[in-house]
Amino acid sequence: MWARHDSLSHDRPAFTRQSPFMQYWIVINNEQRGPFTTDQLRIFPEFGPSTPIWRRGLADWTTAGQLPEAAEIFGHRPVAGPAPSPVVEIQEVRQDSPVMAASTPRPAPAPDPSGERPEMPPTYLLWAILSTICCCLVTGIVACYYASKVSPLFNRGDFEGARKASEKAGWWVVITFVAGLIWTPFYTLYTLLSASV
Amino acid sequence: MTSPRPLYIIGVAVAAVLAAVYFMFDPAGSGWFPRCPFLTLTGLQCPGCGSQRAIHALLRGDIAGAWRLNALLLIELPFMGLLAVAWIMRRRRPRLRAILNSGPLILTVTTIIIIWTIVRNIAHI
Repeated sequence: MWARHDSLSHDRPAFTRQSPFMQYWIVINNEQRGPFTTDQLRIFPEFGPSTPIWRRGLADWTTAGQLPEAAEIFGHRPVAGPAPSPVVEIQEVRQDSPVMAASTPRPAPAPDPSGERPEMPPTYLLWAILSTICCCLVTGIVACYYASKVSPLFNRGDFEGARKASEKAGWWVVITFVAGLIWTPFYTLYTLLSASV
Repeated sequence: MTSPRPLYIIGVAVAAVLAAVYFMFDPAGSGWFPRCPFLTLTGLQCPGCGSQRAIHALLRGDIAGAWRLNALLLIELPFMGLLAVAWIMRRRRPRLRAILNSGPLILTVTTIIIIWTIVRNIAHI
């Protein structure tokens, strides 16, 4: 994975402005990791403009694409090309490791006490609309109401509240569909019987 | 809900079977299709009333007929398609998902459904 393009000397001045001094925390596969320098960030194949990221000086987590230095980070994304010599690789690791060791005071990213920003829970809006149309007006509207609460709670940082609202929306959808499924055979039976009588 | 792939396959299969059924049979002339419980119990039309006949009309290519049977369905079908796409691509396009699932937008959709229900019962459409 440690591929680096050939014009190494040209790139140097550009990204040493941020690395190795700037350290980043990222969330990959719902797991918070860090601190990393920009060089180390680029090693992750999952790392992209939508990756949640935080560094000192930021009030809250953001996505990597929205960082002021985004162009600098992604402009030097390693291109798949001829493999670099192993000597370079070892040198890079040696250069970085003292920096890592020196970063003992690791601040936990402030805005998130649990240390992780989870994915926003589903609103089940599609299912809420479907259940409203297919079956029961009232319970479907209740599902829509809880669906509307998920995103505002999540954006406020109330992940637990958002999860609960999402669960309630989901359960009201289930209630709606189950009610419809119970109703359907009874009604069909009723119409067929009354038609034959 | 942990393994999405089998769920997608089941969902597509169910949708295909339903589409075939609604294409072949007209719900208006058959007792086999479920009648709206809301209409049966209250005598009022729910926001989805006419959807089965509208889907039958749509599958037969009769867009004007579908619009007359349930105009809201015709508006919401593309929106629901967009919601499904946003969910499937939630990793690659988190912004699209965030916009479509934002609180004000959901409240707007809910309000439209309620207003549509009132209007169609007053105007008998």
